[in-house]
Formats: sequence, C-alpha cells, structure tokens
Amino acid sequence: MDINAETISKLERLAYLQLDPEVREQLRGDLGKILDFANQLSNLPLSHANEMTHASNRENVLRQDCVQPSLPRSVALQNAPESDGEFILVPKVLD
Amino acid sequence: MSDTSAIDIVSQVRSNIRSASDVVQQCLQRISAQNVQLNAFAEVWDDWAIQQAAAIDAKQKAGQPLGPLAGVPIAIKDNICVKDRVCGCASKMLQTYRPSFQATVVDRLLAADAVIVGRTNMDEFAMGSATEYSFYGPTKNPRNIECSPGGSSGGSAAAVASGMVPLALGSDTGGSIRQPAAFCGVVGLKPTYGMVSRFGLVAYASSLDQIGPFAGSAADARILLEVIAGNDPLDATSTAEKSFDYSPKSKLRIGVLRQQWNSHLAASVGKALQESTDQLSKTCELVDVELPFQEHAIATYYLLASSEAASNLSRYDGMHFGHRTQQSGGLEETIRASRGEGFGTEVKRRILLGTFALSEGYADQYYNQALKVRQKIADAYQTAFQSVDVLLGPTTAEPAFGIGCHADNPVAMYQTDEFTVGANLAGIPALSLPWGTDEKGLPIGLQLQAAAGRESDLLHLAEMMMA
Repeated sequence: MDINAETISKLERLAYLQLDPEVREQLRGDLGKILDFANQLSNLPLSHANEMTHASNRENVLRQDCVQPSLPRSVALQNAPESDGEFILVPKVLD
Repeated sequence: MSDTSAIDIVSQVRSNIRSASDVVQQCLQRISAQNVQLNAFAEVWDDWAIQQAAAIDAKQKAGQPLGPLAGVPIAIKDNICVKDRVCGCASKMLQTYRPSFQATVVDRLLAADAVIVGRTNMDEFAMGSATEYSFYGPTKNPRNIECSPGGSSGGSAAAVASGMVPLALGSDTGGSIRQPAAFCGVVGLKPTYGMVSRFGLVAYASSLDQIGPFAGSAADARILLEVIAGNDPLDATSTAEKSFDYSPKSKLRIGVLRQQWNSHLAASVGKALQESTDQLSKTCELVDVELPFQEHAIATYYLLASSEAASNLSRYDGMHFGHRTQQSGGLEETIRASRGEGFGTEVKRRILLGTFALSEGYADQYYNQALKVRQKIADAYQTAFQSVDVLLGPTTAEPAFGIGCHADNPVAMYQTDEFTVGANLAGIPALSLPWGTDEKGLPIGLQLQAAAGRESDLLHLAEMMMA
C-alpha cells in the first residue's frame, strides 16, 4: 500500500509526533509494507461476525463510593519536568 | 555458587542452612561478573537488595514465619513499577521517571520475602522481539553472545538463563515472555488474561498484556505464579478469584498443532516436536488439531496491539512527567518535539500504524475487521479445548537469530511471533519449555497452550516433559 507524504504528515499530526525527514521517509515506507501485510484481513468474509474487544469477562467492577487519600502535592510534582513548587509549569495553553 | 533453584533456596533459608544475606551476596557477585557482557540488567539495586535480605534474616532470627519465596533473588522487567525507583521502559522518554506508586506484583513479591535485585533490559515500551530496541543497548543471549535473547523481555530471560538469578518477571503482549524463554532455554509462562494484576505494569496493549514468570523449571515458575496471581481491586480487569488450584489432572489429552509443525520450521525444531510427541505418546493421548484463522493471527495482533499502544502512549506528552524537549515553542510544538525526541523508531512505527488503523475512513477496514478475526481465533481455541486439554507446538519457527539480523525488515521481525500471538488474542495461558538445542547449541522451545484458568495443566505437563 502506498502511503503518500500527505498521509504520513496527517498521521504525524494526529499522533503528536515530530519526525526528522529521514525518519519520516523510512516510516512512510515501513507503514506501506506493514499495511500490505495487514491487508490479508480485508478480504475475509466476516461482515456478520462479532468483534472481540477484550479477553476479560468481568463487567462493572465497582468499589465503595468513599473518599480515599489523594496524592500529596509534593509527590505529584516529583516527576514534573518544570515546577514552581506549587504547580507544574507548561507552555501557554490558551491564547 | 550457582543458585538456579528457587525451591532449594527457600528450603535452605527457611531451615537456616543459609542466610538470605548470603544468598543475595552471591547473586550480586554473579551479576557483577556477567552483566557487563550480557547487559541483562538496566540497573542493579545492590543496597536495597542487601537491606531486603537483612530484614528477612532478622525475621528468621525473631522466629517469625518466612514467606513462600524466602530469600529468593528475583529480577523484574523495566516496565514494572517500584516506588521511587526508576521505571524506564528502556526508553529515553522515561529515563528519569520514578513512580510514586508500586506494582501489585512487587507488593506481593516483597510480602512473600523475595529479594528484588534489579530491573532488566527490554525492548522500548515492550515493543520488539529481540531486546535490540532499547535505550540501554541490546542484551546478549547467554548461550551465544552474538545472538539475540529474544524480546521484549530479553533481559529477564537472559538473567535467568545465565544463572544470575533463579527467577524473573517479564511481560507478554504477543509472546514477549515465551519467545525469549525459548531463545534462552528457560521456562516462560504467560498467564490467562486477568490472572495477574496489571496495576503498576506500564501499559502497551491493555487487552493483551500480562505479567508472568521466567524460571529454570516449571516447579519454580509455579511458586512464583502462586505469589503474584489473583484478584487485585486496583485492576478492574483482574480475575475475581483470589487463589487457584494447581493440582494436576489425572490424564491430559494433548492436541498437536500439525499445521504449525508442517510450516516453515527449522529442521531442529521439527525434530524437537517429533521427540516430544514420541515421548508423550507413551503416557498421554495425542490427537492432531487444526486452529482456523491462525494464519491471520500476526496481522490481527499487530493491528490491535498498535492501535491500543497509540492510545496508551498518548499520555507521554512531556507535560506532567517524562522527557520534555528543550526546544522552545507553544504547547503543540512542545508535545510533538518531546515525543519525537523521547520515543525510538519502533515505538513511533507502531504509534503511526495504530493511528492509521483507528483513523476515519480506515478503522472499519483495519481495526474493526481485526477485532472480528480476533473473535474467530478465540472461538477456534475454545472449540479445540472441547476435545483436548493442552495444545503442543513450537514456540518459534527457528532458534535465536543473530543480533541485528532483522534490523531493516520490521515485518520479518513481527513474523517471529507467529505462534505466540494467538494466546494473547484469545486471553488463554501459554508456556514455553526448553527442549534441547540445535546443531549450533542454541536452545529450542516448545509451546503449550491451555484453556483459560488451566495454568496447572501447562505447569504439570511441562514438569513431566522436562523430567
């Protein structure tokens, strides 16, 4: 399957990835080969078959609705790339 | 001193023949002697391991009962969280990340008086079949250092196979315990989906991932599984059962996967299957079994796993934790650059594949179609298990390949999982046991698969076959 430049750029944007041009070109080719391989599924006559989304038969696993201790602020901040001690500092979100 | 049997260590520590401190010192010496060459461990927690062992010895001295893994050194894969210790997933993205919580399996190991000695190398975010896609460099196969140990849990497999530790934990999404177990010549088990809690396992594909044991014997794998398995309120997909019956069935009916046997196996693997079925035919009933749709398992797996991974890995945005770019820019540029810098090529490849498979205009043809094939594969296993207890086949078509041999061909790398992905898709347990070596001395693995919850059949059959 031929993945064109426009498609790979669209996927890059959807996936929030920034690719170097050489890597983009390599992955464009790889994706085409992988999808050629994956296309074997397209022709299988399964229009009325069920879809299996997960292997667990459990449903609606709930717990008691009671307050549990929250994560302390200092712990929540310990992996922050940038912090002022109270908040995680991030690039401007709103214009 | 080699310590390859966890059961023996537990017995020695509990009966005061050896101290846990002595066991761990010798373990750390073996790691120090071998890890530079093999690169099985990403980090060894010497000080903490010595402290854990000292605490176990103090318990023993105070007359307190010791747990079922008393004094046993154990390695855990770099995607299993230990509180305040780096959990890196062999990725630049998480190279300094220290979780503020701990995996349930780690809690259970510590409660059982195991001694956790370090985190093992893996393919980045568990995406790979060779432990070559790692921020820490490749791991070498202890049986031949020019060969891959397999992946993605190659570090854990190599750590056990080399005798550095008697037990290790890995994770298996499409074969990442069983394939390295086969390549390194040890026992590796992927439990039934939900049998072992995934709380604290960094998610790759949430409907497929399971943590499981590596060991030198089926008996050792069982004592580790007994400790980690069972319901966890923190994992809503975990089984409702708290404990399991591991007693053997009186007579197992074995289904031989003839279509796999007749495929493109290496001669040595075919010979291993012949020898094993000859041996088993003396004590068990053997029949040939076909599994429809198995030939589509790889394509199904890679579409579904990559789709789930694209979703799971969207949390790595450089905002709250993990790698953040030093490039200046607005919010979107920062996220994109952080992810571009933080992820390796294979991870990007799978994120893009998953993004495509889920995208508008393609989701029906790829993702939803793969879900239907998944159901068919699961149905085929269910039908098979109405007439047999265990399925026998090869774990891989060939023994370990040379390091770097699939570097330019991702589809060829994916195809090395052709016999293992089915069990993940269906959610059933599967085990790889070592069966001799090929003409170059490389180990061969045979795979056993059973119906959901029937780990006991796999473990007892493996024990019988390895006796």
